[in-house]
Amino acid sequence: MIVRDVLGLAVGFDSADAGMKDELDELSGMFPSTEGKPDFWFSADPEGDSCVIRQDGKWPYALEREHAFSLIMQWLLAEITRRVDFALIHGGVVERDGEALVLPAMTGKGKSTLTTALLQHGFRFCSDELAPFAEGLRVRAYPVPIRMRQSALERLGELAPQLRIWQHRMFRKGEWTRFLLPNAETRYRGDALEVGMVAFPNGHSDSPDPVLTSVTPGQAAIRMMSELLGERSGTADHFELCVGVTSSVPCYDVVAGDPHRTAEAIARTWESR
Amino acid sequence: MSERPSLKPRLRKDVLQREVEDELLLYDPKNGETLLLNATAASILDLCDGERDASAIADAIVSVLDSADADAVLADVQKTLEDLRAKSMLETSA
Repeated sequence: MIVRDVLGLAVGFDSADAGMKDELDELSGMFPSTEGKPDFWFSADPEGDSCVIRQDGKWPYALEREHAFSLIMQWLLAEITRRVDFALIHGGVVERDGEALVLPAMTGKGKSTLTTALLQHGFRFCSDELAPFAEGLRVRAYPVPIRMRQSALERLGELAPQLRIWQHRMFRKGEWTRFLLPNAETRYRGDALEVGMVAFPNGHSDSPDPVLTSVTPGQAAIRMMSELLGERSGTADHFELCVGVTSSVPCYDVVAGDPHRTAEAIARTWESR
Repeated sequence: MSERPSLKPRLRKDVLQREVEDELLLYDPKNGETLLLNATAASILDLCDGERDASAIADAIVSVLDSADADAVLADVQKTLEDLRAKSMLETSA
């Protein structure tokens, strides 16, 4: 069994099929390996024309093979939000100069497009889905493959060589979602990071030029709190976290234009702090 | 709906407050509601001590401002109290 350290939990991935096991290795490969008995585990095995996913050997769920791994990632996220003891913000995280740029946003606001574009403009990948805060105001990585709608991928244009499309996908609300894997040189592999800036993706306009608007710490704290996940969200500690982060770094609302122009504008703003 | 003059509001004790730059951020951990007050609204909230009704709060503000429009101040007070009441952040004594 492959066992990975996911935010301090030992998570197992297994398959009786060699090809699927290799894919699980790739799916989970951005997390560090660990040893010992997993806290929980997922398996994916071909059965007839389908793939059957299980958690801890139970709750078999059959679906098409090309969708199987996205379901595992959803189950993983559900377990993480249930088990870990620190604040989880729905958002992307990228790293540069040893600090984190956090991008809190709900689905459909352009978070993944912006995260991917930033990787092609000097930032390294930490997360596309989750900004886990532990140890005070420091954020950790949650490096699962980037999930992106087909339409957003087309807006992004040609990907840099450090990003590649994974063959797995999921169908969601009438549109296919692709998964991107950042290569080794684009990933951040270090410890928890201090936050350097917060940018709230807020959709995109038809204009190629982005609009970055400074947001007050109070407004930013409210927006960040609206992206808290998990059963422990909405506690006084989380309030203090959001206020603490947004009071200490510049915060911006971002209406994206062309993804690469937007990433350049964010990079310039980052450099001018 | 305007604040009834006879009610004397104060912020619920379990509502958290944090000053962030020149705004006041309120958070109710019971229902997850947040409210951001500007400096004027924060001053109004400061006077909500459970001893003053809306008119008394407005009078207190007018007394320290030289050229205040009393009706406008009362309207501001009532609006702020309505916003706080809409978020269930106030408790009142008659």
